[in-house]
Amino acid sequence: MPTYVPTLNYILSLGTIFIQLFCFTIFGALLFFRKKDNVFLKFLHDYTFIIGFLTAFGAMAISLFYSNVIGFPACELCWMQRIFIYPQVILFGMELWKREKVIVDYALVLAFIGSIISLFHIYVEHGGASNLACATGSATEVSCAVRYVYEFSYVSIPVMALSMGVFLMLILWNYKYISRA
Amino acid sequence: MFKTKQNIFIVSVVAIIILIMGVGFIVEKTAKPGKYDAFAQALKSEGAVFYGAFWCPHCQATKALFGSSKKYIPYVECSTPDSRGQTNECKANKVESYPSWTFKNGITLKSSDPKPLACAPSPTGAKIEGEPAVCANIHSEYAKVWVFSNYKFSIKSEKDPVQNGDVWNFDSSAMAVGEIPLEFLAEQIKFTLPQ
Repeated sequence: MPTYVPTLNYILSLGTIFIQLFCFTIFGALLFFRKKDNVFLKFLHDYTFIIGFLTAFGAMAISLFYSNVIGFPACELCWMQRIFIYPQVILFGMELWKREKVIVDYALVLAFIGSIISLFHIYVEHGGASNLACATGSATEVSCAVRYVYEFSYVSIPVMALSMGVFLMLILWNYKYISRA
Repeated sequence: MFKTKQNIFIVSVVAIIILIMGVGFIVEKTAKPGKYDAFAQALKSEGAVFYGAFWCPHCQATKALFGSSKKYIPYVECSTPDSRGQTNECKANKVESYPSWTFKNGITLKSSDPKPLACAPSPTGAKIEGEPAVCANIHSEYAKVWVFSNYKFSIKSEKDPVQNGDVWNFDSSAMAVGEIPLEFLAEQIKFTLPQ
């Protein structure tokens, strides 16, 4: 494994925790300070699509970097999550280019289904370690129970994906709310 | 107006990234000595070796037991970077599953289990007819795998242990396989764990 991988894992995990805190902040603002002139929510509304594009693009770039540069093979559930993350780059990108707000609902559905798969992957990661020990790599297929990244005793790749999915759902929910006002 | 807000946004994103990296750096640099630093270093100096793979949840759980002292444990990475293969060092030491621990003076364990389960070697990895179901998951190609009812890990050994009352002694070729509690590791090197 390249020597920079632990540092990369650590930085991405810190970023994931930051996104989770940000999600709580947005959720709290939407629940308790839900006013149309809330500066924070208004700011998020104005930059929903650029934030969404950067987030989805970042997730796509990181997942490709892990599998194609570092060499961690993607398991079946990883591929299913990719199916719901990668198109969001196109959707948000098309909005930035063509200003088509219709993408909001499509992006919301994709983020929702992707998050459900991430949740299931997290469950598999924890349930998959039920044997006494792990078999050596040569004996295993690409198992979804292995954890290539595991920082702060809970941040793994599907936890990163779930955080990103929830974050996208929240900014899109906020966009719909402010736009409706 | 738009340009100003856009600039604020870009500056905010850059500031957040710098903040995250800064927090990580400060946390790393100001970390206090770990509770098990001396224990982890003693394991190394006493010739214990922990063979594992970076992707293995059981190895991650074992490392987590050591907390911030994990940097001192005598860990040998057995997985190739793509997670599908095994390094030559681990192949040469006949590591067949992770985590596996070896000790310079062999393994000693206490068990009142009168008849521990001894799974026979299975060169092909296939289930041996008539053996207990638990053996199917823990077979070794080369050695017998011993399972004691009061331990959640197994002992892989090419030679049978010497039994002395409820104490079982395996020679230095034996490996403890699975999530091993710190108390057991400490007993092997006669180290008193900090309270």
